[in-house]
Formats: sequence, C-alpha cells, structure tokens
Amino acid sequence: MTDFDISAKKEKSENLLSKLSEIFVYGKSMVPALLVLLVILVVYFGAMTPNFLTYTNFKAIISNIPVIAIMAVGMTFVLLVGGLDISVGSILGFTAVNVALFHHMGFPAWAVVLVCLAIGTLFGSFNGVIITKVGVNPVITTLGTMALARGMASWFALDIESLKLGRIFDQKFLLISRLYFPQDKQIIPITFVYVIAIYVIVSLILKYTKYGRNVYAVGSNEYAARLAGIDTTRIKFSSYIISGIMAALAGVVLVAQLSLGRDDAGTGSELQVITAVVLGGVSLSGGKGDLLGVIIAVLILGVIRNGMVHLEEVVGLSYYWREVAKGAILILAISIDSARLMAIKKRQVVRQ
Amino acid sequence: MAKKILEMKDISKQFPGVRALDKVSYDLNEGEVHGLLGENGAGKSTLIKILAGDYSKDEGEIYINGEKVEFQMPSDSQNMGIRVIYQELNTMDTLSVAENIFVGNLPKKRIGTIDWKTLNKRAKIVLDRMLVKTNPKKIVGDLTVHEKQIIEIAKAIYKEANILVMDEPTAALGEKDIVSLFNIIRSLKSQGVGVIYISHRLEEIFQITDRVTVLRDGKKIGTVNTEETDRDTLITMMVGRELKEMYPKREVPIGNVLMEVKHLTINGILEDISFDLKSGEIIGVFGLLGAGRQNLIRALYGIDKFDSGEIRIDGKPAMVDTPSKALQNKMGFMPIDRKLEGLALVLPVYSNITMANIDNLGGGYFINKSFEMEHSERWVNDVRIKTPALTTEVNSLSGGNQQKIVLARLLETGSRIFIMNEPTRGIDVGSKVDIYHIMEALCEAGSGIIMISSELPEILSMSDRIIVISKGKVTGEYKRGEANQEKLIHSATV
Amino acid sequence: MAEMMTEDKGQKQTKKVRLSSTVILFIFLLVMSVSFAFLSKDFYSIYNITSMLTNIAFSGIVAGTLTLVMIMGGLDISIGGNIAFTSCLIAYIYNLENALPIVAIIIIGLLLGTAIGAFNGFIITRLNLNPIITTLGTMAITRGMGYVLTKSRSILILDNVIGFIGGVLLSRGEIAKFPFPLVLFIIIYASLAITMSKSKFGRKIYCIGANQEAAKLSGINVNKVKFIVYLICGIAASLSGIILTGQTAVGMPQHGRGMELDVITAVLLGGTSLYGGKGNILGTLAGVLILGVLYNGFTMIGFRYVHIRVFQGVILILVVSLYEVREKKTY
Repeated sequence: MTDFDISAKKEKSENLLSKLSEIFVYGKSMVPALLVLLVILVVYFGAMTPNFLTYTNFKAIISNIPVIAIMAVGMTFVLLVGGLDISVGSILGFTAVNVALFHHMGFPAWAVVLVCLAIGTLFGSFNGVIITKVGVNPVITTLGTMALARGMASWFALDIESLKLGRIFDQKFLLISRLYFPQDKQIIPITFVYVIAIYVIVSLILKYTKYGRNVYAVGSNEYAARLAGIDTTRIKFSSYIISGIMAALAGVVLVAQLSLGRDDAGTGSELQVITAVVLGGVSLSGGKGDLLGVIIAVLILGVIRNGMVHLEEVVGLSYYWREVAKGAILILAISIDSARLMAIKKRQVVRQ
Repeated sequence: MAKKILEMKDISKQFPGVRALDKVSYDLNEGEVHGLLGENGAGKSTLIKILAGDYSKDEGEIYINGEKVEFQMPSDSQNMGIRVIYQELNTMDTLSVAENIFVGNLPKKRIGTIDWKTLNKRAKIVLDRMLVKTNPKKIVGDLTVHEKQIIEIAKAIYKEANILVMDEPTAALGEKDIVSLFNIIRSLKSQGVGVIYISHRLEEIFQITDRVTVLRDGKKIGTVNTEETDRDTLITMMVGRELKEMYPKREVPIGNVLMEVKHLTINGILEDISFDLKSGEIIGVFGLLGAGRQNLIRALYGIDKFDSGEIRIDGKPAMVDTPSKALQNKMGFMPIDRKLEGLALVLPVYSNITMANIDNLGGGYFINKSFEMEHSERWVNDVRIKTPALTTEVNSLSGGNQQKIVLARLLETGSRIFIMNEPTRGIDVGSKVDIYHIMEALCEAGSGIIMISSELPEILSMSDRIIVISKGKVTGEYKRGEANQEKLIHSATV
Repeated sequence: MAEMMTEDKGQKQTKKVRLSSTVILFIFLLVMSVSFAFLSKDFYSIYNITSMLTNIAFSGIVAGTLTLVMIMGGLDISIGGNIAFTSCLIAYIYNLENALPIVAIIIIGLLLGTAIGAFNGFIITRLNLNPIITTLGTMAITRGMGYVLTKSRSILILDNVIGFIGGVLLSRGEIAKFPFPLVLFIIIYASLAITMSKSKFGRKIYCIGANQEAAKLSGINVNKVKFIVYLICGIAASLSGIILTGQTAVGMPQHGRGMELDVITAVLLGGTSLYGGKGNILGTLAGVLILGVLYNGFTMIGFRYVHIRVFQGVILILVVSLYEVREKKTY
C-alpha cells in the first residue's frame, strides 16, 4: 500500500500567528480570520464610541448592508469563474431611475420589479456576450458597460427631473424594503430576510447542484473543465447575467428603502462589492471561495462604515476618510489574496 | 483473433514548415498495451492530439470498433471512450480529490442535488483500486506533483475508458508507484481496455507492452511484437541510419575551465552537484522528467536560488543571482519553451535578437538603429534565419527559425557559456542541423555549452561529456564514446 | 545576403493593414472635423477650436503616459483620483495662512503625483497584484483624500500662474494665442514618441509587454521599468490635475471623474493592444483627437453630457470588440 499522506509540513498550531497564517493554504478557509477581525472591530468601536453597541445601532448596520450584500452574491459568481464585473453599480443606478420612471407611468409594484429584473438580465447578457463571444477582456468590457449604464441612467433621469427627483409614493412598492417582523415592534427588517434567504439558497446551489460545482470547476481550471465536457462559455455567460440581475435587485431594494430613485444611486458601490467579495475569501484567480466568508466580510465593511460615522462624532475624524478606507481595505484584501497564492506556489517548488 | 478497437489509417498532418505526420497508421486491440516509441519531434504527441480531438487531421481516417469517426473537439473523442493523460497535469487545484476524479459527472441524489457522501465513497474505492491511501476530501492544490498525477490517472480510469492513452506516465513516479501503476494497467487489460503507452524508457516498454510502434520524423518505421524484438532493434528503428550524416563530426580542442560548479545544493531538490565546463566543450545533461535538470540550470542562470555551493567563472567566484548578472558573466540561456519564455511573438525579428543587449546598442539613452539593424542582419545571415525582412513579426516564422532567433540573441550578447534547454525541440531536421553546426562553431571559438537534451541520439553524438542526473544527484558521468543509450537510461533510473 | 523566403501573402497584408490603421484614423479624424464644421456653425470658431484643443490637451497628456502603461501590459485606473487629489491639495495649500509661492505649490502637486505613481508601481511590482484592481483601490484612496481635504466643497484658487498653466488668463474673453496646456501636450507627446520609438527604455517597455518572462530572462530589470512607468503616469496625472485646476480656477474632489474611461478608450482606439507589446504614441494621438473632436462636435450639435457618456461606453466596447475580432482573424 502506498501511503500518500499530505507531504506538507503540519502547521504547528501553537501560536495565534501561525494559526492565522494557516489561511495561506488552499484547504483552509478565511472564515476564522474574518470572524476574529469582526470581533476586534466591534470591540474597538464599542470602546471608542458611546452609541455603537446599542440595539438601535445594530439595526442601523443591519439595514445598511442588504444592497451591498445582494450585489456581492452576483460578484461572487463572476469572480468564481475567473472574471470581473465593475458595471454593477451603474446597473443599479439605471435600475433605480427606471423604478422612478415606471412608477410615474403608473405601473404596479410587481410590474416594476419585473421590469428591473429584465434590465438586469439585459445588461448581464450584454456583458456576457461581449466577454464570452467576442472575447474582450472583462474589465474593459464592464468599464464600458459601466459608462453606458450610468449615462443611460442620467439620460432617463433628465426626463424625470421634472417629476420631483424620482420620488416613489407607491406604498406597496415601498413595502418591499419596509416590511418588518413583527410590523409594530419593527425588530427584523424584511431586507434582512432577503439577504439570509438569498445567501442560504445560493450557498446551497453552489454546493449541491451540478451547475454550482461546474462554476467552481470552470474557475479552477477552464481547460480541464472543457475537457471534462463542461460548457464553459455557458457557465461564464450565466455568471454575468446573475451579476446583472443581482445588481438590479439591489437597486429595487435600495429605491424602496430610500423611496428615491436617483441616477447617481450606486456610484462607487462596485468598489465596496469587490472589496467585500475578495476580503471574504473569493479568490481573484477563480474557483475558490464561498458565501459564508462573503457575508462576514460584508458585515465587516458595514461595521467599519458605521463605526467611522460614530468616530467622527466622538473623535472628530472626518466622515470622508471612509472613502480612503474603502480603497485601502480593497488593496489590503487583494494583497492577502495574492500572498495566499504566492505562499501556495512556494510550497509547490518541485524537482523538475 | 483480437478485436480491433482503434484503427488510425494513413494519418497526415502539416504545420507551417514541418510535416508532423506522414501517412502514419496505428491500431489497437482490445485488452492490449501498445507502446508508441520515438524521439522528440517524431510525431507521437501530434498523433495523440489528433486522436484526442485537440488537433484536426489533414488526411487519413480513424475507426473506432470498425466505425469511421470524425472528431471536431475533445469531447467527441471522450464520448467514444478515449481518455488521454498528458504529461502536463490538468488538475483543478481548488477542488477536492474526489471532485477532481469525478468532475462533470458528480453523483446525484434522487432530488437532483450532489451526493457528497457517495462521491467521497466512490473516490475512496477508485483510490483503493490504485493502492493509494489518500483522503478524498483533501484539496488537490495541497498535494505534491506525484500525488496529482495519480489523481489524473484515477480520473481517467473512472471514466471507464475503452482506450487509455498514457503520455510518459512514469516520469514523475518513484519505483513503488510505477509498480502499482503497472498493476492497474494489467487489471485494465483484463477488463478489455486498450492502452496506448508512450514512453522513452525502453525497459518499461519491455515490461508492460504487447506491441510497439516506432515513429521517426513523422513517419511510421514499423510495428513489432514486444516479445519478438530487442533493445538494439528498437533503438535502430528510433534513431535510423542517417544518424552519422546528421551530426557534424566534432574535433575541437578542449581548453581552460570556463565555469566550475561546486557542491550545488537546493534543499530537497538537488544534492551536491559538481562539474566543470571547459572551453570548447559540450556537456550534455541527461535525466528523466523530475530528475532536477531544470532546477539545476535555473540555479546556474540566476533564476532560482540555491542553498549551498559555489559557482566560479574563470576561476573567480561569481554571484549569479539574477539573469542580468548571468549575462554580465557572459552566460546565455536558451529556454525550453521558446513561445512562453523565449520570444516576443508580436515584436519584429530585430527586436527579439537584440532583446538581451539593449543597453549596448549605442551609447546614451537612444538606440542606434543602424547599429541594431547591422547586427541583426549579421546574425540572420550567420545563423541562416529564413525571414522576409528584419521587421517581420516573429510569430509568422517557423519553429526552427524562431529557435534560431533565440540563439542569435545569445550570440548578440557575446556569451561564452551557453545553457541550452532542449535546443532542437520541436523543429525541423534542416534547422536542427543548422543549430548543431552553430554549436560546433561556438566551441571552436572557445565557448562552452551545457545542453539539456532528452533526445538520446542527439546527446550521445553532440556531447563531449554526459552528466546523468537522477532524483537530484549526479548518478553518472561519461566521456565521449563511453556512453550508450542503455548506460544513460540505466544511470537515469537509478 | 539573407535568404529571403517568400512568406505567404497573408503576412504582408497584415502589415499593410496595421500600418494604415493609423492612417485610417487620421483620415477619419479629418472627415469628422469637416462634417462637424458643416453641421454646426460654432464648431469652427477660434474660441471653440482653442477650447477644444485645450480640453484634449488635458486628457491627452494622461493618455500619452497611459499608453506606456498599457503597452507594458498594465493598466492605471487611478488617474482620475490622482487629478482630484492633486487639485484639492494645491487649492488647499494655496488658501492656507502662510501660503507658499505658487510655483512651490505646483511643485508639491507634482510631487504628490510622483508619490501616487510610486505607490502604484511599488505595490503592483512587489506584491505582484492585479494592476486593475490595485489602481481601482488607489483611485478610491486618492479621491477620498480629496474629499477629506476639502470636505466636499470646492476651493477657489485664483492665481495668474495657475491660470496660465490652465491655458486661460483670468480676464476671460481674452484667449491666449497658444494655450499653455497645448504647448505642454505637444512637448510631452514628442518626448513620449521619441522615448517609445527610439530609446532603450522604450524598447524595454515593448519587450516586457510582449513577453514578460522573455524580458526577464534577457536581463531586463522588469520591476524597475514597471515602477518607473507607473511613476511617470502618476506625474502626468497630477500635471493634468494642475492644468484642470487652472482652467476651472477651483480645486474640487469631483475633478476628473469618469476621465479614465475617456483616456483608456483613446489609447485602445489608437491601436494599443490589451495583450501588451503593441501600440504607439501616434495612434494614441489620433485616438485622443478623434474622441475630443467627437465629443466637442456632439456638444455643438446639441447632445448633452449624459448622451455623450452613453456614447463613451458604446465606443469603448465597439473599439475593443473590433480590434479583438481582427486579432482573431489575423492569427
């Protein structure tokens, strides 16, 4: 019997540092490290500011994350197959404007939602076609779509300007984001339910369906996936459609939350979404990562954002440092991702 | 009467400048292991790639179980029960062992969801059949290269192939693993699977194959029953009589020591490698895949670090830790894959030739264009590069001319110590001879060459000395005339 | 005499196509300019031409250095943020109590650009990061710093020197004969063109873009060249920021928003390949001019900014798709 136990040295789990560095192994997840980070942040902000650790504040944090959380699901698919989509923020914006537009035209809430889903599908398909059929680089493509969608959003909004900046009055529509359980005590917002539901369902899809496993396969080694008979073009195409639909859904939720459908909705959100997904352990190189890490990362970003607002009140730290923090965290996240990859490559130095 | 499960008739394939296959016929019987032998460039991989559906054939027919088939893409070939295991691993490193083995065909429960329990169980069964103990849940990216290869083989076996092609399967395997592999092959035979076994290792051919076909320069030389033949016959078939005409006779005086390698060690990979390179000398480095030859030359040229040992050039210790320093020490490097590591395919000929010598193209910040063109033209002439113009994009030249451009680049830098990694791999015979002549001329001018070659005839006739490396150590050193194929292979498999 | 083997005609034709690419672009430019002159009375006024060229100069300077980055196989999306940060910084310092002389402030602005470029270059090469996402992060950081400095308000900066650099003197209505940005633009393009086509440094950029591994094996210091190129791009962006501040007389964090799209489109239109190793400054010049005339012309005809934004996206995707399809046909 040949014995093929793992030939890598066993990590000594004595100290915390080496335990944390265990994330630099393929098999290990980012989740423990992320949870640690989350706890540290909560403790920090709780200690530094008086109102952070309150029930109201937690509710505020929870109600601010659904939009990013929903988009992060779509972005996860795209990154898993090894692509990238920076047009999601603009798709959201275009959706928002259309909600206002169709609302003004008298469409009922359910019809508006359908229109938005169609918009998301359309943009996603457009991205998908250019990237998978024509073969253009995903970044450049989605850069173009980003401008396209944002431009169209502003264009449409020109007409709506005369309609009081896109205010939504349809109560049924607003309920999309404003329902609570129970309604009187307003404990659990329905958006929270959306997020949990989407994350659970998609996680199940990723883990337990043929499609989900094919997504991982394509991202891991596209050539091998093709050899195994998987339709890699279709899988990649579908990931962009999902990303588009998620962006549109997020747009619906956002407009319902704000009761406002503006053309600048979602500006800059692609940055946050990519940060959340990469920080959550979904590798830029594809085929690796899951939604558990992503949702924790989304929470982390939400906590940071909320905490910095409190810091401003207490310490006088300008609210605008938040933008800087966003960029810095993104670079940190991809540095970790890159370091993981390099560490793995080092372990695989082999006799040739 | 054995049933013919595969018949390839008169297959031909042409690439720009090279006739890779010339009316080659090959067949396979049920439950048979049919070896495919031939030197690099003989056409083995082209034939297999056509069978696998990766390449299209220009002429000829393929029959599976008597029925004519046409392959447009790899999945067509796979649907016919053909599975190829290439040398380059194609594992999905972020997924588990079990998932790799069954990718695209994961077992499902009644409701349609993936049945992980069954998946892992089945994977365990397959691994047990291969006499391998490994946890099917482990992520493949964490395994060693050897382990990954076993996974690839397991993947093929699971797929219930009728025709299994193995391309140098034992290259990275130890003896114990090779034994277990052969047991698996024998059990596959008894189940009626036909195996096409490609290998350089003659003793394996005699161990496991029933028949052997030898290819040479794109043509089929012959098919024999393994029992009825012997080493010498096979070698003659592989090498052919033109051998003597092809290689120039070398009578070059050997001079002073150019480079000394002393006790070079890379922990876990190379151990205590020592040798000298003298002026006018060609040292051939022989070894099997996974022996450590690549690691050695990468350390010499400053691409990789080594842990202990010393390199001396012209008697003085030299710190060669970057390619730039190597070039300063007049070392030149010819990589194994010219398309990946050697050439800027979208740039013109002259640009590629002067790439390693940009700083010397005239003083100051600017390139002296006429200087550059002069030099490039000189090399194009001397090395006999066939190109419409100096401004032609390298992409459109043939493999042989591309390789010559890489060589010209080394010449342009005035190297005296040449490290050549499979210098004639994948190029036509005419260019091969040209390159041999150039190597001879270089030696006459006082340079020294370290040449990795897995082409036995080439290394045997071009080298003044041959060093054999196996499992990271030097296991044999032969002077010109002392070595032959058996001795080399023997040292390489120690 | 080198043996000249007759290559198949396909190769020769490809070269012809490649060469006339740039020529086609300039012909297109000519046709477009003439058309707009017919379509809009105001297009051909000196005022419009000068202001159009000044705008082209502003983004063109960055497009030029971005060409180097893209030929090298990289990308820099942080240019917009760089412009914003530089603009806010110099306006901020200008309005401080013990203000420095304006020339010193301008130098500080350029130093900032150097720092940003150096940052990009350093982390991309040392940490081996994806340039696109990295510079996305840098963009957020720099633009964010702009917001922090100005607290989202515009800061007025009325100064003759800056105004001169921006190409407008403070007494509006009077047009400088040859706007300073245009002079800078010409000088910079000439320098870049010479660098890329004749200098050793430029050659190294092409080699790295065409095959980074081969360049490394040939002894080229890849990390150093990459670092310098990102550095140059950073300086150019801050220079553009200074020009823009001069043009608008304000430093504000909204400056440069969306210009990365413009610039990338111009470079790609000019024939630079996303795969690296191919492209030239002349092509970028054509691209910059075409886009500049196009947007200006559309504005003259009556299209609004939002319409143009949509066109931007469409043009980018169109240009890249066309080049992609052609690449596939050739090989």
